[in-house]
Amino acid sequence: MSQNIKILPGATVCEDCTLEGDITIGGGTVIHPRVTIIADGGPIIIAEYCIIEEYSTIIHKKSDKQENPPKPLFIGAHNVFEVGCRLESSFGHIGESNVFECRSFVGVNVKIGSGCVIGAACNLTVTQTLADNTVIWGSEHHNREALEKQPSQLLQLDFLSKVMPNYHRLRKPNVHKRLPSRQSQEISK
Amino acid sequence: MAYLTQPDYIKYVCSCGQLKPITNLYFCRHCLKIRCGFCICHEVDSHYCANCLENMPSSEARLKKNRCSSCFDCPSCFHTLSTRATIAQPRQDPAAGDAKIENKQPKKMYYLSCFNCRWTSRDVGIPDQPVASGGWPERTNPFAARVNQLLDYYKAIAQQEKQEKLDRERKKFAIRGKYMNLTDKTGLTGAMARNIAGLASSESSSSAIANFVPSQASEEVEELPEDYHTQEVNLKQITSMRQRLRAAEWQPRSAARLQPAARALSVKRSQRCRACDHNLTKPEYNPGSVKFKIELLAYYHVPEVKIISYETVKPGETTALLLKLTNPTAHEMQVRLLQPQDVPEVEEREEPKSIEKSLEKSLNLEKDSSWSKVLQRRAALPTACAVRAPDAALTLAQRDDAAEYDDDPQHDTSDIIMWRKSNKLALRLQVATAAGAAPGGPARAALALQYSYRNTVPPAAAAPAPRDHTLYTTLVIHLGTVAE
Amino acid sequence: MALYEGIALIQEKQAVVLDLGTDYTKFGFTGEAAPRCIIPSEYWCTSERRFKRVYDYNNEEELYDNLVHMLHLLYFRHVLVNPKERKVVVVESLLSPTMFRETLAKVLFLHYEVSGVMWADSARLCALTLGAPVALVVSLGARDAEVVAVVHGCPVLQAIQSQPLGARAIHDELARLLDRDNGTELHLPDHVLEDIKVRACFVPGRARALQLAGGGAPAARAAPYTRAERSLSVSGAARELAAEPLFARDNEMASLPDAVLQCIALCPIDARRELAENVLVTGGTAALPGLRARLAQELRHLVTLPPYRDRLRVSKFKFHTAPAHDNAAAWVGGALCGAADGGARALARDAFARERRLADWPSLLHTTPRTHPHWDELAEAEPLG
Repeated sequence: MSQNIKILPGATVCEDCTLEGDITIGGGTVIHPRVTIIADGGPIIIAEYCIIEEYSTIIHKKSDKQENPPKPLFIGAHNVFEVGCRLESSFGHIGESNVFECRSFVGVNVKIGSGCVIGAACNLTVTQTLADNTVIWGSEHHNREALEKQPSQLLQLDFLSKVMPNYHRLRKPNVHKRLPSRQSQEISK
Repeated sequence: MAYLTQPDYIKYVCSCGQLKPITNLYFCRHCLKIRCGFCICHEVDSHYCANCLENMPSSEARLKKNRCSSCFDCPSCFHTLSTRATIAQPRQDPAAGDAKIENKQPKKMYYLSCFNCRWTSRDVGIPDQPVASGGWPERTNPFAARVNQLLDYYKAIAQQEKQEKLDRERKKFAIRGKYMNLTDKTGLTGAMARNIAGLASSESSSSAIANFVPSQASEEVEELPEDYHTQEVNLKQITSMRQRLRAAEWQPRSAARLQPAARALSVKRSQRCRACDHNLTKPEYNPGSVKFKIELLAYYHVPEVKIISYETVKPGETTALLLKLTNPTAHEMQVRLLQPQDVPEVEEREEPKSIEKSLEKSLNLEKDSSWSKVLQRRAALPTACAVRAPDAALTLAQRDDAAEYDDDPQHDTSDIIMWRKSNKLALRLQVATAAGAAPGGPARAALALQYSYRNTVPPAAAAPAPRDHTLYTTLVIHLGTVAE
Repeated sequence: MALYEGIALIQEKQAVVLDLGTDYTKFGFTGEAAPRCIIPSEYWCTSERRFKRVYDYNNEEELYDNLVHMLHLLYFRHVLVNPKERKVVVVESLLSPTMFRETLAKVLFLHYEVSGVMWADSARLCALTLGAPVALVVSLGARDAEVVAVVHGCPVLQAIQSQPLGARAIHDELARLLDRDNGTELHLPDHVLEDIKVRACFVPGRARALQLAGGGAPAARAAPYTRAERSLSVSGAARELAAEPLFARDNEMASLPDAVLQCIALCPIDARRELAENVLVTGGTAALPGLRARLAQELRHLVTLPPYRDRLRVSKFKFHTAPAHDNAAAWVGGALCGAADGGARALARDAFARERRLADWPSLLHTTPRTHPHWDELAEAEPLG
C-alpha cells in the first residue's frame, strides 16, 4: 500500500501507531499511541484539533462502487475518538465536534452530522443518518437531541500536546506550509 | 464469588419450604431454624442517599418525600447529574455605571449536566445558579390545589357523618337502614348523596362543604389541530414512557419540559425473625459502611455443602458424587447424612401453657401466628435420584483460620471420606437413579444432614436452655441433566 | 369505639394507596396529589433470572409470590416505609377476580402484617376526584376498557360494560400495521410497541378517519424510528390507525362508543341524561392524543343512529377533566378516600383473621340484607359454633 502520510505542523502524532494509506492529519490534532488509521478505499483527511485516543480505529473501507479517483473520508475539526472506538466508513464527511465514546462502533452505512455523541459501547450498524447534535446512549440506543454542540476540549488538547512529547516518540510533521511552530522544532532536535 | 456468578447447584430447604442457596439464608439462633428473605420480617432502619452517602433522619425524609436535597437524577437517562461550573461574565449594566467594582469580576455559575446522555439543565432553559448545591427551582403539582379542595370537602363530610352517627347513637336510633349496600361499606358517599339530594344534612355544615364546587363538565373536548397529521414529527422531542413516569407528578410529554429530579433515597433494612421477633440482621448506621451489627447468616452456622465433581447421572444406574462439607462454626460438629424422609418432623414445641400466656394469645390476635401456618409450604423434593448415605457420624473440626495454611490433606482410611483438611471434609458418595428418570430432565437429588450445633447465645436467666442441639437440614443437589 | 378512634387519630400512620394495574403500578401516600411512584408491574425474579410480571401466574401460590416480591419492591425501594401496622387503600376494578383479591388480602395481612385494608373500586374513586354526584367513568386500562356508571356514589352494577379494548388492542394493531409497512414480521417486544405508541401515535378525528377508510386522504407524516438492531419507518398509517380497533364497529356492537352508550342504556332512565353529561374518560390509554375528542365525536354520531336513537334520547355529551393525570386518576381518588375518613372503613386485620374472606359484591353472604329470611335458614342449617 502506498504510504503517503501528511502531518501538518502543530499535530502531535505518536510513532507507535499504525497509519496506512493516504492520510492527512491537521494541525493541533493529537493522536495517541496504538491508534490504527487505515486509508484503504481512499484518502483520510483529519481536520484540526481532533483527539484520537488509544486503541481507536478509523478505517476508510473499500466499497464496490469505488470511484476514480477515490473520494476522501473527511473528518471534521474538534472530534474526539475515545479509547477503543472504531469508525468504519466508505467515504464521506464526518462533521465536527462529535464524540465517539469508549468502545463505540460506527458502521459503514452511518452518516454523522456535527455535535453528535455516540455513547460508550453503542454499535451503530443500522443504516441511518444522525442529525446534528444527536446523542445516543445505552444498549437500547436511546437518543435525544442536544441543544448545542459538545464543548470542544481545547484545554485537554493543550495539555496533551505539552505532555505527550515528554513520554512518547512522535512523528515529525512533514508538511511545512507555514513556518513550523517553535514546539515542533524543539522535538525535532 | 461462585455464589454470585454461577447457578445455584446446592439449595437448602428453608423452614418455610422455599429452596434457596445458602448465601440467601439466615439462621435464627433463638428458634434454631433456617429462615429466608421470604419468611422474615423486613423493617426500614434508616434513610440515606446512595449518591452522597448522607444519612437523613426519617422525619426529614418524610418531609422531603424521600428525596435527597442535594443530588439530582437526569430526567432523560436517570443517571446521576453532576454539577459543573462555568465562569460567567456579568453583563455590562450601563445604569449601574462603575459604582460597583465587584460586579465586573467574573462570577462562577453552576449548572447540572449528565455524563451519560449529555443532558444539561441549560437544555430546558433552567438558568444557571450562583451556588453549587441547591437553589434549583422547585415545581408544584399542577393538581395540588384542586386535590386539596377535594380533600377538605371529603374530610368535612366524613367529620359530619361521624357527628351524625354519634348523635344518632345518643338518640338510640340504632338502625342504620334496611339495606346493607356497597355505599355503606366503603363509600363516603352516603352523606354526600344526602347532601346533594338537598336533604337537610345537619346544622353543622361547615364552610368546606358549602363552598365546594363540583367539577364542571364541558361539551368542549380538546381536539387535535386540523393539520396535526401533516406536522413534522420529531420523536426525539417527545418523552418516553419511562421518562414521564419518573416524574409522576408532571408527566411531561415534551422533552423540553423535563426537569432534574431530586434523587430518591435508599433505606437500610433490618430483618427480624417472625417467630421470635429477634433481629437476624441489623446494619450499621453509617451509610458508607457495608457491615452489620447483627448478622445471623446461615453461612456462618449451617454446614456448607459443595459439589466437587459428579458422574453424569444415568437412569437406573449408580453414579459417583464427590461432596465437600465445611463447618463454619467455632465448635466441633458431628454430621450424619440422612435421607430426607428420615428427618423427624419438627414437633411444635408447645410452650408450657400458663394461663397468662394463653390469655395473652387470645387477646392479642396480632401476634397469633398459628393461622399463618396455612401459608407454610412443603418443598417439593426430588425423588428420582437418591444419595446413598452411609450411616456413619462424621466429625468436622471447628473452623481454624490458622489452619488455612496447613495444606497437607490427611487421607483418612474410611471408604467414604476422601480427605480431611481442617474444618473441611470431602466425601465419596453414590447416587442411585431410578430407572424411570426422564432423560434430558434435570437430575436433582435430595439429601438431609443431621448436625450438632452449639448455641453460643447466653441463655436467659429464667430458663437455662441446653447449649448443644441436634439440628436437621435438607438440601437439594443439582447434578446437571439425566443422560440418555 | 369513640375512645378507640381518638387514639387511632393520634397514632395513625399515614396510609398508603396501592393501585396494582396490569401494566403499571401506582403507589403512594393518602392525602397526596400524585403517587410517589408509577412503575411497571414487574419485578426481577432471581430464580428465573428475568423480569416477571405480577399478572403472570398459573396458580395461587405463584401469585402469592409475585405479590410478595412486588410489594417488597414498592415498600422498600420506592416508598420506604414499614408495611407493618400501616393501613392500605387498595384500588381495584369491580371485575377483579376473587382469587386475586383474596391472595392480595393474604399477602397484605399475613405477610406484611398491615393493620387494615380498605378495598375500593376504581370507578367510584375516579368519580370522587370530580366531586360530581353522577359520573360515567370510562376507564381505558392495559387490557380492558371498562365503563361504569356511578350514580350518587353507587356503581350501577347491572350496567357495567367491559371490552378488551385497552392498550393491548392498540399494541396488536400497531404491530400488525408495522409488519405490513415494513414487509416482514418484526416481532417487536411489548415495550418497543409501547414506546412507538406513546411517542408517535395519535387518534385522528372522525372526519379524517372516514376519509382514511375511504382511501381518499393523504397519509400522515411518517416518523423514522431507529433501534439498536434495525431502523424502521413508522408510517403515517401506523401512527393514525393504531387506535382504530377501539372504534371499529361490527354487528356485535363491541366498540368503545357502543360500550359507553350501552352502559347508559342499561342505567335507570332518570339517570341517563345526567350520565351523558358527566362523562370522565380516564386510564393510561386515554392520554393518547386525540382519543377523547374522537370518542366524543363518535358518541355524538352514534347516538343519532338506531338502536340508540330510540332508546336513549340523549342529546348532549359533556366531559369532565379529573384533577390528575390520566393514568393516576383512580389512584388520586384512593388517596382522597383514604385520607378523608382516616381509614375508619378499612377491613381490620383481626376481622380478616376471623372471617378469612373479603366482602365482595357478587357474594350473597355480603349482599343479603340482615333481615332476609335466608339468614334464619342458614342459621338453622348449620348452627354457628
